[in-house]
Amino acid sequence: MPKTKAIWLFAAVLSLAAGAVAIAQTNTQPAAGQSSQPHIPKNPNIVISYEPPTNPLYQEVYNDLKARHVLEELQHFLAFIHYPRPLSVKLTTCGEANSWYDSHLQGVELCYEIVDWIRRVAPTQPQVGNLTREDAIVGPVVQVILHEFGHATFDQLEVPIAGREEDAADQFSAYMMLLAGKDMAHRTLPGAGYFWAATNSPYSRIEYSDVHGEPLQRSYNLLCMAYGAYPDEFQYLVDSELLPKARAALCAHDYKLVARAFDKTVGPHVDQDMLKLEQTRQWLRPNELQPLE
Amino acid sequence: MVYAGVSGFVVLLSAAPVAPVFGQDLAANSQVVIGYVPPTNPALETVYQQVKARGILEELQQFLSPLKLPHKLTVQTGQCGATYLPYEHGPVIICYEYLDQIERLAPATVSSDGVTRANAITGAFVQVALHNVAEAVFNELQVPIWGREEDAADKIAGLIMMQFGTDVALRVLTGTTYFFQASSHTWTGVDFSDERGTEDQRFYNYLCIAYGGDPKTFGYVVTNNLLPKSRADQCAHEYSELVYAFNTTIMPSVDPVLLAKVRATEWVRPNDGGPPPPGAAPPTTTDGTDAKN
Repeated sequence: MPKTKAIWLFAAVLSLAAGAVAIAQTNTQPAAGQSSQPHIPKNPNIVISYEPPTNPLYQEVYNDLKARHVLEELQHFLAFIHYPRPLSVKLTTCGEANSWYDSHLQGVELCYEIVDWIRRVAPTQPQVGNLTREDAIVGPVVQVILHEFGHATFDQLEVPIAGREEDAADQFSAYMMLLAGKDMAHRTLPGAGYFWAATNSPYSRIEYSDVHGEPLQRSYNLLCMAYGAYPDEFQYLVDSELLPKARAALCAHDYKLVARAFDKTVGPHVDQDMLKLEQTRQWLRPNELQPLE
Repeated sequence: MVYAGVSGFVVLLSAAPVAPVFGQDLAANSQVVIGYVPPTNPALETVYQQVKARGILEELQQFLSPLKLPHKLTVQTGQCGATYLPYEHGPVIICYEYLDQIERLAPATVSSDGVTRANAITGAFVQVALHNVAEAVFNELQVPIWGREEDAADKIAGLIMMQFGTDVALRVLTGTTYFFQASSHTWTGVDFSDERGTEDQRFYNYLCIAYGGDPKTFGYVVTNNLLPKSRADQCAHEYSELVYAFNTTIMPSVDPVLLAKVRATEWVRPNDGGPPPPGAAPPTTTDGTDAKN
């Protein structure tokens, strides 16, 4: 059996909120049913590293992420995808709030700055749909990581992309969260949607030349994926007008398109037995702000 | 509105058609069913009569002759009640309202950027026809689409435009980008939930396809600061990614012999989009949907 601290995917992320805000927590015990969690091996081709920050501002973020084994959990979470070559993922100081995939280096770099930014953007009070501060942090961090792994997956598996690759990477990230089940989707996608909506600012015309969508577009796209996959679970997004009805009517179609694209292009590289096993696992703890041990 | 023999539609994947001939000898794709649906709004009657008289859809049937479709595909011009209808399945509809908008936004003679009325009309019409057909083809062939479907349809349309040869690519892409520039407006809030990109995003996407596919011919879009260098630097990669997607997902459903015939056909004539020649046949006045296959 794995050690307790290695069980919860992205439980690491919860620590990002821990030092930032005091949210009442009472449960310091491991969640019920934890001992029955299935054993998921690590993806052998995902090579991880934590680079100590060069800016002391991010020392706490670094300490938390490393202590929580965020990248190790990512190795477990992506165990069901066969990557043909080693793929590195590094947490590092970048000088900007960003993250990227470098095809020449075959590596993902995640900046402490973007994690810090996400933490600063997260609301202190619960939002519509009972979106908590912790999920408003967990969601976008998971989304950003999986977005970059979308680029890496497209590159390594030579996936054809007819649309805009940045949107495709967002779709990949959303689909990964949905594949893991309703709980994971509920705990991550609304938070990711919140983050992108909160970082929105008016664009000048030339900014529309960017390869990324405008932040509000990215927010709506992520929420649309959630509603398209689980309309009952996410009906509140429509009821609360976080997702306009006109767009919501198209989300089942949008979701099916992504599911089809995944099945046809990434599917041949998926260990289906491993995926099924992963879907039986609870990836996020009920109280993400609590220490792991 | 003058679709003076917008003699249709492109040339698949051949940069330099040799000894072009007009398409009379090409058989129509027997799987493509066409129809000009009469509008109920009298204001759209002229548009309807003109596209029908010009035989636009008949030419589209010929242009699509290499495409091996598993089912019948209906392509219609019709009144939509809006300039645009989202596509999920069913017939392809080119909206009279959209064609009317193209005409209204086209310059009276020539724009300040040197775009002629003929090219503005031809380019925008070719764009919407190719875009709408592309979405239906994605569905018919169950094409894996990564990235938003609307953007993918734009990109496939742009790729096909680039196969006209230099002169026609310039005319059609110039007309296309003129339309998106002319129809641009400020987006706020829920506007961004639209499944389509903003007009400015689509404008830059098409410029990027043009520059990425032929940086020599379209180098002016960078030197004239129409396309920022930061985006331009990525366009060659984007174009190669698009070609790869087309070749791996759609080309297997294209008949190579018929493709060669389409390649040898001139689809956009110098006077397309301009006034009809003297003595041209007047529009027909037949009522009712004229379905053919």
